[in-house]
Amino acid sequence: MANVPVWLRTLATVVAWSVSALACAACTTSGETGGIWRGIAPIAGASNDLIYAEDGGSLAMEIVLGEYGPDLAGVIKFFRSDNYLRRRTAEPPDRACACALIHNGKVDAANGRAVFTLTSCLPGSSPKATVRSVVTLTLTATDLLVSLRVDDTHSALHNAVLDVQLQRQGGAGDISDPDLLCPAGSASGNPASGQ
Amino acid sequence: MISKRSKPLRVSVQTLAMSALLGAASGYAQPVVAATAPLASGDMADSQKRPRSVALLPFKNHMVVAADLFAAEAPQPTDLQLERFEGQVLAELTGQPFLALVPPAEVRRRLADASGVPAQHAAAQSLYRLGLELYLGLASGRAIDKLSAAAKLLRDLFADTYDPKSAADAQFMLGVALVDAGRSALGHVAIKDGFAMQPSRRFRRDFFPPATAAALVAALTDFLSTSDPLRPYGDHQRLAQLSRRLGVDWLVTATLRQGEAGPELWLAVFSAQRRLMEAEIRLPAGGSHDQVNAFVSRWLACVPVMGDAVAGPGTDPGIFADMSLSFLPFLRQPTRTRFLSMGFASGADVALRENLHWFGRLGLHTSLPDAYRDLLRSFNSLRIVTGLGATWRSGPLRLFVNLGVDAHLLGSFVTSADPDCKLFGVDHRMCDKSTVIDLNQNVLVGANVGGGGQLHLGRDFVLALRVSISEYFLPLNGTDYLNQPLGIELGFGYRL
Repeated sequence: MANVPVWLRTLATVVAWSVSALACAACTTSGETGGIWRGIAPIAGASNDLIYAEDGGSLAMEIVLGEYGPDLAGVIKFFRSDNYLRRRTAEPPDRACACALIHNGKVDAANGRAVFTLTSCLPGSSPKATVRSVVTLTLTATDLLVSLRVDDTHSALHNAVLDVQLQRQGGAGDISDPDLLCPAGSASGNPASGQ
Repeated sequence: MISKRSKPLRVSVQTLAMSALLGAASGYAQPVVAATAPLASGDMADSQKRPRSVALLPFKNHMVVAADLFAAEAPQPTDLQLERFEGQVLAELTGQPFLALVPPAEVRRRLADASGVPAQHAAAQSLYRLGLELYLGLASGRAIDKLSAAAKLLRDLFADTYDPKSAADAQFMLGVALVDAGRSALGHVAIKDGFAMQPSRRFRRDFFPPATAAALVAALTDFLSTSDPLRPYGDHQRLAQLSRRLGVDWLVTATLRQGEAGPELWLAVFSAQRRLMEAEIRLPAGGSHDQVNAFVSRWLACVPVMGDAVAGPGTDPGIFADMSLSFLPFLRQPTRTRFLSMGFASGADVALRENLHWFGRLGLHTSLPDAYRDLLRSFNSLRIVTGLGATWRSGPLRLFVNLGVDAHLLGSFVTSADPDCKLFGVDHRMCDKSTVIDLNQNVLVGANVGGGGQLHLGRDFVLALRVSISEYFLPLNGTDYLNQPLGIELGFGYRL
């Protein structure tokens, strides 16, 4: 080290500073809930279930979330059975209920929660009518607990609740453009395969 | 062919060369050049010349031979001879122009009083005393450990310059302990190192047992036959460390040694920058004053006088170029939380007058994300700042205040507070377009004011710190969202 020229040591110092600073900058994340989450909506009994397939079976749920400080944005998708978890091209449960966008997403960082509003039809229980629901997300050490409560006083499903446990499938950096596709429903064809 | 215009320069160079050659031959090169030569176009004024920093290390006396080793420690004639030589060389160096001399007394003081040295020296002495007690208590193994640590610490502190007896005592005692422990070879080396610390050391007769006395004699004989009198303070690495501690560029060492025809003085000059001995000579002790004079003059004639980068009050020559790490937060920005731009900036200060310089800076920055990610993507920007500044100097510090023009070319700068714009993109139907601010490719122009300083680190290197702020006012309708960049730059520079 004693024979290293002064200018080289100076250059090395400057480079080390830069690398350290950039490394610190890279520590910044877009939030803990941001990313891709997937799970299966449980089936308890035909009369109590809120989301289920046309044949009465369970549905897979995917939530793609972007967390930006106090704000939350994202998309929620439903798929028939758990095929979706293995095969992305599985068909959606309903032409109009395959997908919905998150509204008014807010993060309560102090309590590790996030809340958003969902205005859409619900596969199984309300396949044809739009209802307003409030969704609460609670982050645990490994999972995301989703609690969906129908908040529409005009709906027969008012105050019905669905709890789903989702597992993280990817971080915020793993979200790609196809994950965010959520076309509007169409009377003809199958527009909302999620792909 | 030499034009009339170039003739004075040519004469000046010739005069300088002749003066140097004649002066070197007569032993008075530097004074003649400095005093009488006219100033050539490439020369510096005397006020701009930086004195060459030289330390004259305490002389070493190698005159004690094995036959004199066990004698009274009263001053010997050779000690008086050494003092006379030291005074002679000191007087010779003191009289040289553009030479900042650190005399032996100042060398001892600087090394002994340096930060942390008194405490470390006291710790070494404690280790030595502990080792001595352990040795007397027949705990040779532990004694060797303590004495070895004491000897190493004293050597690292260069105690052989300011307290050679302590440094030598630790080595001698370590050697004696090693010999007693049956490790004769290591003991021999340790005692030999002790003589290197204090070669003039003598011992009381019949103080040591015969085996130890024989070891001392053998080590001294070995030391005198193998040591290099031109490097009495060790190898070039140790000399370079010593010059750094003293803050000088050259070290002058001297050793008085018994020659074939009587005592001889071995003089050497070590260059810390070049890490080699630049001049060496062996003079008879009875030699004339002129021989020392001629040696010093010959060496100085070959050492260029450099320009003064920091000293020389009232002068501010040269160009200072630097490369800095740059931080650029905007005091006014459209995002809800602050984002930071950082990158590199480089530039130069060119002295125009004594206290006036022109400066030019070029910065390349890239943005870091804000906490809420309102900045939709990182953007790069190119910034050019130029203007004039007032400068002041105080010792190694150069301060300045600048006023200039700032032109800032922004890259892709787009912000929005709508989370849907962030996740889905600004073209998505969910994105509220009214929240999007797009300053893509805008060029912001305004006034810049700043200040800073450069700290001279050694030779021509400087540590530079700059702080500045700009106020953009062009384009007239495009400076509301992003404005008032606060620039903080820290880097290293070089005086060209």
